[in-house]
Amino acid sequence: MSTVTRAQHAAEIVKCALERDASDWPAFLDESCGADAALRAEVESLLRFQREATQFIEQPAVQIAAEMIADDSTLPPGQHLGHYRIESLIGTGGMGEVYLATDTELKRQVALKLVQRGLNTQAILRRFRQEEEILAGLNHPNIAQLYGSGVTDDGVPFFAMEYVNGVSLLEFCDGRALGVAERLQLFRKICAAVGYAHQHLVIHRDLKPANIRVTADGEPKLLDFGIAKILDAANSDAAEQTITIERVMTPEYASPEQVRGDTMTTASDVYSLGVVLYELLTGRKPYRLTNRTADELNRAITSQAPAAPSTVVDANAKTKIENRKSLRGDLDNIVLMALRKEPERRYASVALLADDIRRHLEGRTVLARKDTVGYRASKFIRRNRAGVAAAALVFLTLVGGIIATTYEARRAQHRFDEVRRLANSLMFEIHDSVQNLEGSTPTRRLIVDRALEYLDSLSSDGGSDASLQRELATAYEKVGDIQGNPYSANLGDTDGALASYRKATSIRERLAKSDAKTETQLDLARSYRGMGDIMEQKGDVAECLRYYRQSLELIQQLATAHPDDASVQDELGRAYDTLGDGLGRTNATGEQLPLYQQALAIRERLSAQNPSDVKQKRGMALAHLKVGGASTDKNEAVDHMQRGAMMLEELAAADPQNARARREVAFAYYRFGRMLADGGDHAAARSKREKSLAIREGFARQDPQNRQARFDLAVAHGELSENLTNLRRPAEALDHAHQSLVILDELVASDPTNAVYQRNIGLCYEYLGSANAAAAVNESAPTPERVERWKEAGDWYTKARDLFAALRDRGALMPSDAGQVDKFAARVAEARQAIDRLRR
Amino acid sequence: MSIPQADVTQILHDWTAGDRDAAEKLMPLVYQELRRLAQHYLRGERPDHTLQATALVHEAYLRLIDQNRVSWQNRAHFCAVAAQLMRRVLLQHARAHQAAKRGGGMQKLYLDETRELVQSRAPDLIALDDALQNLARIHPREGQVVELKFFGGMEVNEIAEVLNVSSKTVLRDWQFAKLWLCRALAAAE
Repeated sequence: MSTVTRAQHAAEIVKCALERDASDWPAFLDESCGADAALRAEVESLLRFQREATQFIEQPAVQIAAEMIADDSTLPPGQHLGHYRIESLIGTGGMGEVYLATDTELKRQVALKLVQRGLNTQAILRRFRQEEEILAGLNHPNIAQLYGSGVTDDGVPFFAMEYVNGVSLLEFCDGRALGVAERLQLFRKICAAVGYAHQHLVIHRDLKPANIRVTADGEPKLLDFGIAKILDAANSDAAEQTITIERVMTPEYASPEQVRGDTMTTASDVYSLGVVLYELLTGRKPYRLTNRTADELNRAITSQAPAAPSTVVDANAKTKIENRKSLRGDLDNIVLMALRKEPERRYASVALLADDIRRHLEGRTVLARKDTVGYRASKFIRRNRAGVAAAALVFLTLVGGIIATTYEARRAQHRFDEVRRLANSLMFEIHDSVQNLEGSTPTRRLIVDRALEYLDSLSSDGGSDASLQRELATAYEKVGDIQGNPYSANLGDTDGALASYRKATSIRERLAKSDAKTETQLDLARSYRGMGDIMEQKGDVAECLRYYRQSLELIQQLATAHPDDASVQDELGRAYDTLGDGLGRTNATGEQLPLYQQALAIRERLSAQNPSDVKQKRGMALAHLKVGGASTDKNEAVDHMQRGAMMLEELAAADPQNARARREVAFAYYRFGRMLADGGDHAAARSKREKSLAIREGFARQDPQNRQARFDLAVAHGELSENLTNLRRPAEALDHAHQSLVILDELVASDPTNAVYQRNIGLCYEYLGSANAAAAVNESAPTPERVERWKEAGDWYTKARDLFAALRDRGALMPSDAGQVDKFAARVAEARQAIDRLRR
Repeated sequence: MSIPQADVTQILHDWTAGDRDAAEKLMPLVYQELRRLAQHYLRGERPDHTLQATALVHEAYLRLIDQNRVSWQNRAHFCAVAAQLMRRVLLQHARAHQAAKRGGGMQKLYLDETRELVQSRAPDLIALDDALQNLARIHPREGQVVELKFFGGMEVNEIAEVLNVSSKTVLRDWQFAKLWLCRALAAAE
């Protein structure tokens, strides 16, 4: 028995013994220690102290400690630390104390900073040393200078620095009643100091008037680099570990990224300088708050637009700046540019901010432009990725501002309506306009999350209002789509999508019960379909089909009641189509064709009624592809496929900005290729698949965060690999299969419960196995190489077999894959036999 | 300036969610508030003038934490930080005291030297802390129980919450740990 386990065993015996009467111990120890003399000795040596331990440390020490904490202050005046003599305590901060002290050697006053006793935790000591290191590297007339450092007798570190005999920035300016120009000159000196620090790779992160002291000669000095950060990869870890402490320090001057806990950069200092300038010019802070709670402040910093400085100056302000005109225009623009929420839209450096102020002082044109609604709108309308993303963000900011003020007010009905209107416009106008743009996935997540957040909070005020409930359901569905609807650009969060859709469906069911209107019923049918989509993605085919059928039945009832309603017909076509697709996951593929034919008939009818309707034309094209895929007659199949692909090409050509249209062209070729391959025409299939792959590569490149695009690309590589194997081109086949596997591995890592991804990995193993097998059957190759190939093929087939077996055991196997385990087992055996034959 | 409640609350949440650095992050915030309150009491700014340490911790907690966002577990974790803090402060003082008396031969600081509230046999604080560290190496949970109960003044059920075990286990650990520490201190003498 090792020492540790004996100790634990002994502890257990002692604990049991203590629950018994001491007179029972001998018998108890005989029983529990048995013949283990060492164990018994250990137990007895502990039990011996029973009497002594009764009162031992029963009285908590906390009482004494609390009193010690109370006197745990300051070094008394007159105490010496090395050659420094303490004069008085001049400040305490989050983790240190600052004393005025005299350097008895150099006969000068210094500021002495030391870690508060009892607070010398690892994190704080590290932080303290870092401040010292930072100060040692900075030598600028407007930055307080480091003189030296040491350790007290009881081991508390301290350092001595330049003592700035002055007052804080605001006190100085107001006390001397400085005018705008003088304030700006002073501010430029501060910018110079901060800019200098940035050049030395130091971000201050706690810029505020209290940390800027001005001497009697009017020289500003930057103090307290206590939470500054060195912009250096080697140091960044240590700095980040204490970020939570840092975040609480001075929230009023904190940038949005700081409040959110995001990475801070030099732009964060630009922001804080913007707040300082705002206060310097107006005597006020940028945000109007009612309760001044931390939450409210954080919300304001991240989402409320500050009022232009010129609009908040009033005669009562301490600044005595009464001339609003001097601020209107340039200075408003300069301050607001520094205060922009998005770091990349602020001044790119402190130097540029200082330059713009100089330009203003010299009467020249400044760089800062008004951040107008017109600007936001124009940015928004501009149809490029960055433009849309930025505009959407600005819009969110705008909404956030209104929401924040509404919460403060918490009263007027028209405010409530306003928020609701904005949240809606966010959902339906902005989201929809961004939806089909490439590279827009993160923006969409942000938009919908935000809108949902707003609607959620509204629902608690809005009660059972049906139209509000409808909006909520729609919001949940949109979030669900973005989280994980396999049929739109999504973020791969299948479980999240399911949760969102469940919420939506239950709201819709409630609404549909009390409201027989077509639209309400259709909404419910669509919600069922969404549930089905996600169930399919999770690999639960039975549930998927149940939802698809439920959706179809509901729409069939509506179509019977309203035979001339085009929107119901449209949904009916889609419902047939969807159920057909779902059946493709089962063994019942024979049932697909009639469903697809129904769908095509509806599409043709609707398209004939309205030939210019793009949506109907698209529906018809897709229906052709489906019929083509399901058709058992080869000529008929090729005919449908060709018509479908051609229509989609036309649609994509007519709307080149529309990503979905291009995605569908790729889809058409994918289906076409599949059909040709199934029919044994591998050469024709290859050309279709190459087309599909090329389009999908483009998508994946443009929107790297879009999982759907990555997945489509993986599938395209995989299918082409299969094709190349069939064309006896194993080297190229291996290459494509490997590319497919790399993408799929990465997708599975990000969404481990997604059965569709896993299934495709299994298929990928098959492609790799088959490509190796194709190489192995090449009789002109040397035997050892052929054996190697077979071995490798066998390994891949084994992996494929195991993966499908695992899916089966988990209940996530699609019925159409039911034969896969046996098939791969047979392939493994085949590879073994081939090896045996070759070795013979 | 005062510390925004939300952040302390957030750190506690992070802790419950598994952030291992949370205790280190909380320490300075808790310390500052405890010190402020303790001084407040001792300066007689409160009518009763007495310093009830556990009440102090509780008050610090109420002041630092957003009560709308916390659960009972958060409170227990908070007390655990205070316990660790108290232990550090006591040790710091004991060592400073020891250092001050150096030269006149090594002197031990006994708890009852500071205040007569301790038990019949007052332990040498530094030796106790050493022994506790040894205990914690072999029996980590038992070591924690001692820290929370002796240094933190926490109740058994609160400790059970922090350590996620039953109250009965805490009591058994405590009884055992006392024996173990007594033996260790006896051996050190």
